[in-house]
Amino acid sequence: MKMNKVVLCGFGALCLGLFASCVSTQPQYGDASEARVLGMGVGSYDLQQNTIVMVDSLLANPVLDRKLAQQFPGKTPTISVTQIKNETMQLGLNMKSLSDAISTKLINSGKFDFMDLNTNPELLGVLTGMMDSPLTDEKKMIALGTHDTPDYILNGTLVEMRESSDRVRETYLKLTLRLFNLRTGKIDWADDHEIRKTQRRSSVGW
Amino acid sequence: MKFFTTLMAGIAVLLVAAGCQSPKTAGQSITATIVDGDPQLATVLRVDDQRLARYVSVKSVNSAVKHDGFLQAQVEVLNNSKRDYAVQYRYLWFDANDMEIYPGKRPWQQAVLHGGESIRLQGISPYPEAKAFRVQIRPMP
Repeated sequence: MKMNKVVLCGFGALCLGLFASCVSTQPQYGDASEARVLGMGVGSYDLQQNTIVMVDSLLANPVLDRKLAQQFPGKTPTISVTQIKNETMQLGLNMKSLSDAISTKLINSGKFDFMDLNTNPELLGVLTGMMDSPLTDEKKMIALGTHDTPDYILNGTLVEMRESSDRVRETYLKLTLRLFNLRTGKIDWADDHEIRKTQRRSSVGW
Repeated sequence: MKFFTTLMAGIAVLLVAAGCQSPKTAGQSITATIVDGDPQLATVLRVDDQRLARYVSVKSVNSAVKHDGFLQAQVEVLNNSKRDYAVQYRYLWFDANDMEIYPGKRPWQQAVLHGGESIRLQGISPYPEAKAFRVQIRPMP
C-alpha cells in the first residue's frame, strides 16, 4: 500500500511538472513569420499571407509580363498603391499596414518604380518650405513640377463573410487586387486570394 | 488502485501530446541551386522531422528563370495519409554568393493537403538576382 502511495505521488509530481513546463505565463518572443490561427477574425498572419501571395502573383504573372513588355519596352513602369478598402467586420483593422507591406515588397523587387501619391501634400510642404526658407541655396533649389506620374494604380478590397451552423463556424476572407493602367484605363492584372477558417463546436462540454 | 495509476499515466501522456505538440524543428527542407545558369537543379532534401516525413513526401522540384530574371520555383508534395494534413512552408532565396536575400522577411505560408492529394508549393524570388532557393516544410502548430 505504501508502495502504491509512492507511485501515486510520483505520477502526480510528473503531471504537475509537465503541466508547468507546458503552460508558461512568462512573456516570450515568438516567430513573427510563423503560420498561426488564434481567432476567427482577421489576424496578423492572414494579412501577411495575403501580402505574400498577391505580390508573388503580381511578380510571376506571364500575362502582365507580356503587357508590360508591349507597353513599356525598355522602361520600368511606375506604380502607386492606394489604401486597400476594409469591408470586413473589424472596422479598426489597420489597412495601411497591408498596403505598406505590399508596397515594400514591390519596391524591393525592382520590377516597378514606385510613387506614394498619399505623401504628395507632405512632399509639397517640404519643397515649398525649402523654397521659402532663407537658409536654402537658390542654385540647389529643387524646382516644382519635376515629379513623374505613375503608370499604374494598384487598389483592392478585403472582404469578410461569416457563416455558422450548430456545429461549425466559418470565416471567409478574400483580398482582391487590381492593377489599373492610368493611360488606357484598362485593368492589366487582377487576382484574389481566399482564406477560410473553420472552427468546430465541441459536442461535449462547453 | 491499478486503474487509478493507469489513469494518471494516461493523463501525463495526454498532457505531453496536447500541451507541447507545437513543432520544434524546421521539418523538412529542400535546397535547390541553379548551376551556372543551367536550369538543371542540384537538389538536396533534408529531413529533420521523421513524423512529418511519414505524412508528407516531396515528389518533384521545378524551377524556371523568367525573362525578367525572377527565379520561379514549384515543389510538389504528396500527402501519404488518407486524412487532411495542414502544413506550413517557407521559401528562402539566395544570390550567387550564397547570401540569403532579405533574410527572415518571408512569412510561413499555410496549405491543407487532402488525403492522398499532391499539390505544388509555388514561390518567386523577391528580386531577379536569386540563384538558389530552399523550401522548408513543417506541420501547422
